[in-house]
Amino acid sequence: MDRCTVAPQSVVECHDCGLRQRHPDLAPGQSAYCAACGLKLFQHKPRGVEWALALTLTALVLLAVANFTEFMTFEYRGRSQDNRIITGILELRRLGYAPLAALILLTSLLAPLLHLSGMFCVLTCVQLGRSPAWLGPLFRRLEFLRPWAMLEVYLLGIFVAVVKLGELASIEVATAFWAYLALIVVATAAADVLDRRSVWDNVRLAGSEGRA
Amino acid sequence: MTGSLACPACALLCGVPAGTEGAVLACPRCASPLRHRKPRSIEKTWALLVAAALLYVPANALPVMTVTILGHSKRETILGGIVELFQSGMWEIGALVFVASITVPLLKIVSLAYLLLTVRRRSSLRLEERTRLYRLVEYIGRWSMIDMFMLSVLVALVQLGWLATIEPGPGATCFAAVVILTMFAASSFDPRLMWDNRGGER
Repeated sequence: MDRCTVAPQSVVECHDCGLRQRHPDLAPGQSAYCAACGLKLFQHKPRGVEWALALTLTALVLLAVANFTEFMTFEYRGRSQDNRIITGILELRRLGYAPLAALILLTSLLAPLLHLSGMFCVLTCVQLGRSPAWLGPLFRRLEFLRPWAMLEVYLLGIFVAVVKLGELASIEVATAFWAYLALIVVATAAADVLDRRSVWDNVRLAGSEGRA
Repeated sequence: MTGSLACPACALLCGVPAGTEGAVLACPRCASPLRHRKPRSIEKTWALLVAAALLYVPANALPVMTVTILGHSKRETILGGIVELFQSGMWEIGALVFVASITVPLLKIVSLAYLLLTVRRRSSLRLEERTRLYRLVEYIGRWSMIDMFMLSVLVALVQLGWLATIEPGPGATCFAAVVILTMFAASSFDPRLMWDNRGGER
């Protein structure tokens, strides 16, 4: 593919309706919305990168705890069964539902893990003021991956399952459940404090000084 | 003819050098291909949508799980599971699952078909509302996965040999396919195509 030149950045194009409009100067906390369709174009969030980096690191630790410790115990007529998040995926695969198992593995574990660790790399680079050649392409792919990380939906699924089984037997939640709950709060906050534009502003353009 | 293209991924406004018409340019910041509109958006969205609509039928008609308690097996469809929640008095949870599993996929299929038809009719009416509808469709898609996650937890927890087991059913695979197909359909639709018709009115 050919490279192209960079046009003046005083103009932005709305992602949803394609309207070109002047890029306003924003005070901290202020947001800019598209004049035609009302899409939030961006919000000026000061110190967003620092906060997002700290929260992402916390989320990674919580993700490890949530996956490597026991999730909940199910007891029915004296027999009990311990369970980790991965157990459901392995059981589905064992019972002949490999595609479904793969989808759940992707949305509940792989996508969140890749997204969080990728974001950790990107935010560390931005924080250190570095801009390696892979930074832009990596951040682009992470944005693409984002809708497939469904931690909060998974939590609702667990909630419905627990309610459904509640009548049948007793269920005790363990460490991983609380770690998971905290993980969702922290991961949501990490996404919320970050102004994506401030990351993009730190990515060096190909062809600019330093690269041929 | 525009002299510049906005990157679909990082929003960088890129100048298109003379003499490169017809070639696909790469964004100098994130390497994404630069295109005026999403390529073959209408055809792709229709194809994914029709596939999703067809699979919506077996997803609801076939059992998503088989519950066996002390030798008694019972097959449960998505709607059956919801009815059971209502019957045991948990109507809040029942309503939640009903919205996530029945309403949301249907709403997505109907809404995207409606948006595609308005693009075809070159409608310039209610552009803001239609764009808002598109954003809603894009946002709510993931919540349909509740039922699949519930199933994976149930299958993991209830493996107690002859006492009680829960196994998945073929409806689950169809349902998961509907969720994926509608998510791809939503992302392949280009809402800017609706706004492109605004000029025709003037």
